[in-house]
Amino acid sequence: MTELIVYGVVLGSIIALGAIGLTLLYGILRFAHFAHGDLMTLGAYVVLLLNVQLLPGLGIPEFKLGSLSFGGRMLGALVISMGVTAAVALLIDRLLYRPLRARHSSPIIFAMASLGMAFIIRSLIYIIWGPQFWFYAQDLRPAWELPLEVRLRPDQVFILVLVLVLVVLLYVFLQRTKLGKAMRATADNPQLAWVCGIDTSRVIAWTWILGAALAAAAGVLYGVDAQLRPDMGWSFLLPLFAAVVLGGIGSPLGALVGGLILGVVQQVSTAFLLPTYKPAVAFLVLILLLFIRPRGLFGSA
Amino acid sequence: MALLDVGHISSGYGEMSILHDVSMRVEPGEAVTLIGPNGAGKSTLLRTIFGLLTPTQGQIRFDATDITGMIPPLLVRRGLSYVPQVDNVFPSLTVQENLEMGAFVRHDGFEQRLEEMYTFFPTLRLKRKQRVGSLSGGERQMVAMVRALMLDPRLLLLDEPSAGLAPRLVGMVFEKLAEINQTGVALLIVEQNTREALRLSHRGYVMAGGQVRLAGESSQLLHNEEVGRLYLGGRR
Amino acid sequence: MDVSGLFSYVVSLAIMGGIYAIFALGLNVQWGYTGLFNIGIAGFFAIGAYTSALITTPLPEGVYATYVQQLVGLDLPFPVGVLGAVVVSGIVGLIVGLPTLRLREDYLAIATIGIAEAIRLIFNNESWLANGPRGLAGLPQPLRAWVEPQHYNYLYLIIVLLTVAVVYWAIERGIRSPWGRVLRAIREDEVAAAMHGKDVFAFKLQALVLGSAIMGLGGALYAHYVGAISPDAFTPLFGTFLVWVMLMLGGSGNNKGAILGAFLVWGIWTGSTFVTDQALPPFFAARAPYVRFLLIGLILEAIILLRPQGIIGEERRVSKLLEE
Repeated sequence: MTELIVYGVVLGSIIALGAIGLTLLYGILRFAHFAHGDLMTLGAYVVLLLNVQLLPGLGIPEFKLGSLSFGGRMLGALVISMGVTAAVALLIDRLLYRPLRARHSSPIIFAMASLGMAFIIRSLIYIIWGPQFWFYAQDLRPAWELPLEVRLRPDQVFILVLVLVLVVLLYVFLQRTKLGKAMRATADNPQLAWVCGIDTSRVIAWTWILGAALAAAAGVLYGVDAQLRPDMGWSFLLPLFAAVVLGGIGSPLGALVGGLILGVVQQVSTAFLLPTYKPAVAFLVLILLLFIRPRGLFGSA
Repeated sequence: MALLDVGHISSGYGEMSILHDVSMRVEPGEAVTLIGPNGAGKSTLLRTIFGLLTPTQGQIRFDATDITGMIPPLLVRRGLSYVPQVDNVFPSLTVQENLEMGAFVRHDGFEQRLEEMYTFFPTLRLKRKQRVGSLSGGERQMVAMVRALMLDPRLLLLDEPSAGLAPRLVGMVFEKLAEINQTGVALLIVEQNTREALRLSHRGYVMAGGQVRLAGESSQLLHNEEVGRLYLGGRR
Repeated sequence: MDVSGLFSYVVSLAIMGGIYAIFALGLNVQWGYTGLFNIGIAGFFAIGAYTSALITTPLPEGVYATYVQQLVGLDLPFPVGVLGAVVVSGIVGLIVGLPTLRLREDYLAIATIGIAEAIRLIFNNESWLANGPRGLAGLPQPLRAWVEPQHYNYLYLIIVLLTVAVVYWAIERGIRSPWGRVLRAIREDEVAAAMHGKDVFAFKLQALVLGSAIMGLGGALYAHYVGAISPDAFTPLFGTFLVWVMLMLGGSGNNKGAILGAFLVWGIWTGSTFVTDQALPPFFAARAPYVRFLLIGLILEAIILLRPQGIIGEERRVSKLLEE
């Protein structure tokens, strides 16, 4: 059981990364971004392209890091992927959501448009890489033996560390920088932010950059831990939304906590249910939440 | 020359037009009040001046520059500032962060200005690290006003600053507004609290049905019978 | 293709178009008239299909029992199956609506994704229920004995078109009734409707349940047309996304639009196989289905950006809302 919980924390940290981006988008852009899971998929596949398909062919070595299944080259690919995914998100915003904002479309139209985007991104991934599974690395990865009969792979420790680093960086950004505060202000009260002279289109752009970059990282980390498949992001959609609702829509801290809880609950559920049911477990958590406390842990009314 | 010159403005929301041919002005350093029954268009006028609504007709000049339809980020840089009636603070940010947002477009001189404002409003200094959402109504209103002062505006637009406040707080708000006016900041105030507002200001405009019905020195308006009539008979 | 081949191709096209028209009509009740965002259509589609299948097939006996497992097999006639599909789908709509309709509108959306996923997972993994991933086959086709096998599709087409007509007529009547007017008032301005004393929650729930029941009906017709069903027939793309594009293209808030959109998009979807098979280079030809998904997705975005009201657009208000 302890092992399930520990692995649940690993999974939960991946969910949290995606959920934080999703909740930022909810708070500032004010709609349910149904393409968020597929941004995760995109991020993962860009790293696949770079680290497995392109860069080795160019003769760039891996720069192995200790007992991890990957090395410096992968990390470089990760950073590039976060940038690429952010750029794609900005492009989509420019072409699709910005015209809708100018028209004052309802949040549901935005959500519908994002649903369409989800299918478009996924189709492109199917077309380019095909429906089969891919892996970042083929070698066997031995686990570390930890106390309490817990076995954790070095990769999984890396996941926890990286998520922690990213979360701390985000916290510093939101709390200490002017732009971060402007983002929080815009989430609170977009019209007042405008009245203060805050450039809301810059805030929106940065929201997409952060949200997409975090999603990409989450997708890559999932790929490191498990495998890549074109519908991996879509299957994350329910846990992501459940985590956001659990934490309270718009609260990054809530998304972090919600993600971790959801990861643990999902993993513990595998003691009684088949692993494929994990999204359904997330759904159950969501429904229960909606009955008991719809605004979540840290949400405003 | 007038600091603010509103000329023949018509404005509204989509198909609903609210203001018809409204003209008025504010001189430098003046305090001017807009009064009138609900639905007269007073708030709409403020929002049109501050670029939240684009007028269908007319022109607005600030310091001889045409600012008709100019967006807030530009107006704020020219010395105009606006305090909405509701939702006029960032509840999840601290007091100091709210003020920081007020100074968002100009970074230099922030520390000094903050000091000035804290001296002027000591309560805010005390609570500067507190989340504004947890403050009382009066304190929140103070944050809202000081936020708008952070860039040292020459004209401050206020929409019903005393709305929803307890009576003794109302007096405090108008005291503070008078002090602010004394430092040279011109005020354009929309108010339901007619008496207090007219006592504070130099001139006033009475609006009803989207038009200016009466204008004059505040002292005159205070004792004008027609004002009372317009007010009570203003409901259609 | 010779003429009779072409003709039977068109007939099968029309049957599927008609079935999808029923889904689109159900969605129109939920979204077009009431503003409910249901992205779990695939779930109601599946439930309708499976319910009818389980009701109309017998429990496997003898040697079949080793290959096929199912929970119930009532072996009842087709109309009972269809009725069961309608009822059970409606109940699922109720289950989804109860916790979500009083809350934010996007909670319904998330909950419907969830229910569709949950349904798919359950039917896929719980083999004792309906034979898991292998699904159920040999579903009875109504009035099979009336015509020769090669002409059966024409009969089925008539059944489907009649059903579309009945559903269309029923919704049109409903929407012009006082009940329907309240629905549309809710979509226009929920707050105003509430202030008029209307129990917004109850009306929304009714619209949701009604739309779900109609979708279940479509699912049943699908099951008996195809004759065999399995969980992977009810994917988010086929079951949910396609129906949305149909309604948005045809014109949401308009029953004729729903029907038009269904036939049009189904035509585009199947017709595009000709294009992808002929025109694409070999690499892409293998991924042809995904190219078509992409096309459908792009169509939806184009509609949203360029013509959100769809081809026909919303109906003119037939009568004033909330006439007192």
